[in-house]
Amino acid sequence: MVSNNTLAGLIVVAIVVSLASVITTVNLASRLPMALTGGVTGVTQVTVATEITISLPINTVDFGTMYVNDVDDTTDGSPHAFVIQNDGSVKVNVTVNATQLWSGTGATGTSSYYQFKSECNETGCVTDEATDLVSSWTNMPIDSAAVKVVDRLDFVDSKDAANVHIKITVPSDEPAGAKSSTVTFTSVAA
Amino acid sequence: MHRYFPLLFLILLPSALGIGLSPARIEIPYQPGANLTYDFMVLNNLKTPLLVELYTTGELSKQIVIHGPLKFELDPGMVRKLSFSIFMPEGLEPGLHKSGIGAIEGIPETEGGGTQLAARAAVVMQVWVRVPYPGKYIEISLHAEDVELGEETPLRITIKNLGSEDILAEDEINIFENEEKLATISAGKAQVKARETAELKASWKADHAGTYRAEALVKYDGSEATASATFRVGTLDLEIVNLSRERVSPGEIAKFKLKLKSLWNQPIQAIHADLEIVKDNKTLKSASSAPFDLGVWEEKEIPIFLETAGLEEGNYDARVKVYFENRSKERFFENRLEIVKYKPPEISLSILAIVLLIALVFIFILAFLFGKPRKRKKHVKKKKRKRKA
Repeated sequence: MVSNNTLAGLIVVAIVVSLASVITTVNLASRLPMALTGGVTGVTQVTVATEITISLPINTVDFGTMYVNDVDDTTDGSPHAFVIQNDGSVKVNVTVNATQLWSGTGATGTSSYYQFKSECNETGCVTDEATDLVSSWTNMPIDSAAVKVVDRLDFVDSKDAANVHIKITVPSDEPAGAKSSTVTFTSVAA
Repeated sequence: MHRYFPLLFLILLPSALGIGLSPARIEIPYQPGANLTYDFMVLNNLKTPLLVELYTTGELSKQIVIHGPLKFELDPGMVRKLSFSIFMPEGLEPGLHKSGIGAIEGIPETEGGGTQLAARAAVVMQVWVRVPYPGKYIEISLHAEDVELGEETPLRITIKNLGSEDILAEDEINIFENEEKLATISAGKAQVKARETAELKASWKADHAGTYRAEALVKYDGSEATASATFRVGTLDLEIVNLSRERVSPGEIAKFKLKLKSLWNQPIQAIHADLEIVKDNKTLKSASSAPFDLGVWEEKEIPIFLETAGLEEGNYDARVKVYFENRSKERFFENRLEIVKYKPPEISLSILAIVLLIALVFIFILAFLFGKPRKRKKHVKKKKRKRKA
């Protein structure tokens, strides 16, 4: 009858032998001759498909409690701006639109009461910051065709993110209550 | 009169979306009356299931039929392969006809009442149909590479013949710095057959570092096409790309990650960086990095450890100064250090799983080694009884 200690020892030996054989096999394989017969070589080609993917590391903006006629925006970091990130393999053009936020006079559709602008979150995120970003406050399209927010957003990890700032003004006749809006970012290959 | 009302502003976006489509673009040569089928994939790069809705968009959206469900759920990290067919009607105008297939996050279902806020992100795979122009027509693109001062800048013009006849192209490239024209060079001539592509190459050498613009003009059979590109001629310099935001408890050591990028075609050695924690324009704490090198055009993250003892709770700005080759560079960052009273420990799920697995294996080994002691003792007792008799 084999004792438990002996069995445990055999298990350890088996594991060590297995690891050693794997290491030996890998080393041997790397030394195999390039050709077994006749020195024939071949070429393998692979094409990596392009991919378009965006993510939103910062996807909520909470302005908290506000009064009528109050103005607030995200440029001071409180709250933080939205962050769009290009996780694909091609540069992308991103557009934006949103659902209605206000019900006050003059603010139900696209208006200066709800605006956006963009900047790089990481340096060099676009090809040309002067033309690829929206540097001035722009009225957010409400339930209408999306407009450009970032062009040629890069996909390299070190420079693939942009900030989208939001600025809101509470209309003077806005009724009390919770307010919300859904913003949609759509990206296509640049 | 002020009207106070508790407003809760929640502008919600898709929760950390990673919705994707592959390929990003499909270009289809025009075949009047043909009905062609292509494959594509929908990706979920998130760690949570994703509800996906597919749709068509653009000029030929009604000619595109997606084979498969238009709404489905995609598991975390999963890819779903689908296909679509497109019918190309007769008589399309010459040029590029743009359409697309979009994937948008579906609104998840909820139970019960209350206010539901939903947000989405969408990606669109471009489906382009290119109809050739009658006669002679080309489109060109220009590519220029960044080089080090003293090197020749390679310039490459790509000519796509989108017409139905062959052309003979002759080019001219003008080099500008800001609005000043510095040089005119030629990449020669090229015969380009219908629906084919050709390249012309040239080079130019700058006499000082800077950013330049190349404008290409290609003439062919009485017509012209233009393209431009910007390029850099490098010098010994680096860029302070970013400094990480850190959140620690009072007295803890904060590990900052400083990202730097070399702007030179040679290695830069013996660099070191100083980090200052600033509030109200006063430097409260400072730390330095160990010396390091940057390779050619290399981008690297450097750790800088800062002791936060003595700093009160709150947010702090940071100033970074980088010293290299008798030069220095400085950059200011806002809100880079947050001191909070209590920071819950971060435990990676994968590390926890590994620890549990090791513990289970260890328990199993112990049970195997020290299990079943009683049967042995009973066997010994029986033997003793027999001897007495």
